[in-house]
Amino acid sequence: MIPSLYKITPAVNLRAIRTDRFKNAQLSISFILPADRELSPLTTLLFSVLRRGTEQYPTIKDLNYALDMQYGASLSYRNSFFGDCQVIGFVLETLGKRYLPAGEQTDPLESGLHLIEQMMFHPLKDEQGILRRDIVESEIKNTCDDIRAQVNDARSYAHMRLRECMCADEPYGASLVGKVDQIASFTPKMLTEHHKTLLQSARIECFYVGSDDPERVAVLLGKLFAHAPAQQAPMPRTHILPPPAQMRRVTEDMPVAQGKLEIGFRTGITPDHPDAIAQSVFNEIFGGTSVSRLFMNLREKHSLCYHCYSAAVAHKGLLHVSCGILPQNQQMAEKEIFAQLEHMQTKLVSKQELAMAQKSLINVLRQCTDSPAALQSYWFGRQVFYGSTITPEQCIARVKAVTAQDVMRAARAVVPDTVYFLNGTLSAEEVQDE
Amino acid sequence: MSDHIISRRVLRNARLGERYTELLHSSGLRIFVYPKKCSTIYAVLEVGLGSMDSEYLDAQGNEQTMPEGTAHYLEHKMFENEDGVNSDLKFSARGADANAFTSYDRTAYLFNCTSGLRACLSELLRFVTHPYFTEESVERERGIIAEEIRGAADHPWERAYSQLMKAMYKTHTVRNEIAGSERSIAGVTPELLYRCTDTFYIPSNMSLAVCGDVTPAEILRVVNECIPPEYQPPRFVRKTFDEDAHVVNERAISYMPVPKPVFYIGLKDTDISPDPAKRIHKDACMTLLFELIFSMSGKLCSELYEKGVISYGLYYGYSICERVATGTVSGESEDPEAVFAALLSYIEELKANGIPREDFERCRRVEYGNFVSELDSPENIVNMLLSFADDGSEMLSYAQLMESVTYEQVTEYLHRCFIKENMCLSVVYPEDMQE
Repeated sequence: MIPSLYKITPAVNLRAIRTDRFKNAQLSISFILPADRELSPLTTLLFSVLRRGTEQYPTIKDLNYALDMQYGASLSYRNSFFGDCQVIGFVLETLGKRYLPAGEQTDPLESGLHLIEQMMFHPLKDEQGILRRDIVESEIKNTCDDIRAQVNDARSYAHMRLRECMCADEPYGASLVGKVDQIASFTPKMLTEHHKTLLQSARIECFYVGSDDPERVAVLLGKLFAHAPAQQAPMPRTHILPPPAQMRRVTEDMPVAQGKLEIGFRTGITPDHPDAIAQSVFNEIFGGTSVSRLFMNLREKHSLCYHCYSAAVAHKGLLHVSCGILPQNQQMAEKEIFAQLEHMQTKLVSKQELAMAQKSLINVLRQCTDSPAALQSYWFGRQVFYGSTITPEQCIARVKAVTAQDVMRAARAVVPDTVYFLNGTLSAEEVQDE
Repeated sequence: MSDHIISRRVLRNARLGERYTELLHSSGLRIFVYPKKCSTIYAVLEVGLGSMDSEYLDAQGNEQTMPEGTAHYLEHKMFENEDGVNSDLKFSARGADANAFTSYDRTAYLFNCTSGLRACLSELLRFVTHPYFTEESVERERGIIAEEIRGAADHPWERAYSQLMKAMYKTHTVRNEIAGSERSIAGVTPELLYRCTDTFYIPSNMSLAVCGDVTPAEILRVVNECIPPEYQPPRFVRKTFDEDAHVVNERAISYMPVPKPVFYIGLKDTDISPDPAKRIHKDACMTLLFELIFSMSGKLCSELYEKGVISYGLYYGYSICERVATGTVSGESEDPEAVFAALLSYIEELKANGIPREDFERCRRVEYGNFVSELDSPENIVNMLLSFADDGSEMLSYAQLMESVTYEQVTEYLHRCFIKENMCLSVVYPEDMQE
């Protein structure tokens, strides 16, 4: 089922899938912005401030209490990259009305939207109309704490550092959260101005999956965005860069026992590329599953690691390999990863491997229709960024048509860009003795 | 009966439009079939062997022990087969995605697929009941598991949790690390793994649950093809531990290169009824209490947040089964002692003034919503179903149970369980705070 498109205002779109299959409904409201070293952290901080309190719900307790009373409706915040774009906003999940206890008259969707309206348009301000200083300062402190805490998870920290090093000159290499010094310099006035600009210039994309009539959802969103700008901001562009002439290397130390090896590649293959599906098949065979070449060789054959996988960042035409290893095994792991890639670039994959990869992707695609979140994650990027109407069934047909030659072509598009190694400086004995 | 089924019952929740069938196979295998119109089929075969079973009594009543991490090591090795083809490959050849995990009280083997159910289910039942270990393959796994252990040891949260359990319990095997340590897994051998499968991997110590567009008849057909109908009685007795109600240490402290202290607060609960109906009722009351005390919609957490003592919400949860009951709360704070003190004084305030009625109603709604939300996911359904069934209760009745829990019952548990001496604060401080 292809989502239907509703034009709420010139700047706001709704895409909706009506279905009675689920007990939950999901509605997302996303601002599509160009990722930017200066502005993205400001936007991220602004959203933290907006959810601290509103005119009608002045404390974080009031806001959460109101959600809880809607039978545990959840309002989460999305903030991620799609290529060189920042996608930031709200995701509201509510129970469908017919699954509320007998006799309950409340409407979780409408109540949830009312909360979003309060946060977006009526955050707490002082007498001068400036976002409240105490709240801004407290969120600056929280954000700085979060940034410092990134090192607590060495694996995701290493992946973040690869992105920052490899894409240092691209919006995708920016930090959406920002850096400590930068955040500390933001003021309530800057945030207040940014709030106004954002509401006047953003491109807003909404997505709904649930049992409510989309016309009704459109009317509710129409009320919410009554004052939205008359013009839609253009879709920010994503830049696809060629690989560097020479592979780059970055090594950083951290006092942990396990080193993290992250290798970034450029493929230039985005979701609208003719080889996009072949690239997915390639990735399944290379490092996408627990029977992939990386898994079978680095883990099962050489016992080098527990986790080892590859994943594509399709919207940006990138791919990366990630594994956790003893620091002294870095060279061996790297050699093995490149050998596996070279093998796939020079020799056709076997029929059996190809068939397994195709079946695995088909299994994933068939499951895309099994929850509101899965439907949304299948369609959101495809529709908003590429205007694609290719259904999971059509995608499956394309997966089936991929040949070993296609996989080799996709493998040849994979060119190394940066090897990032987070070198663990703690010996295993030190860890045991603690 | 010709289909080797000893008992059969259908469980329903008409209001939510949900039902499933529970069957007892003559081998002792319990089977749960939960029909759901969706593309995904999710199946779990779980074995009643977890990290807590590292000490048990054998059929003769003799005390037996195995190295910490054995159940988890075994889980890794079960995928290997005599024909040299790893079961992962066999699932992949059918487009299915297989996995496994070990917890305190069980080992679960699972797959999801959208076609080829019969072959996948048959493979699941076959490989979990046909162990095959060699010196060479057991040896090769040691390096892999060592990396898994090292990866976890670098995590401050894992450290804080692990030291919390050791501080709360004196002898209970819930103190053990699920994956063990590099030292303990050095003692794992093929002989030991075979002893484990001989003792624990028998159908009467297993449960199978399948959710998706399936019928009990088709699941039963595959079970009958793969599992011999003869009943084998369990060859072990689970060990019970006589733990004091109070925690061993009220503090557990360590230091790591973290920018800000990471903490866990634990609640040790030894007041565990032998009656499953009483345990599930307590589960509902305590879950509600944890929501009431620790959620951002409550007074404690929102005030700590607005004062800047914590920088985001707390993670919290309570779980109970026949052998152990624990509640945990975790977060990050410059001053975990202040969080703990605020918690203790808030509990005293609740005990003295009573739980606010509106908070009780809020939490009842949240728990109802949380439960119903889970029913969109075959994976969550199967996991929930098994965790209720493992403890002798039934999942679909939980929604009604939540609705029937009273204010007075919850108040009683507040007084009975939230006692300072049963609580422990575990903190991983930044290294520069070490004197």
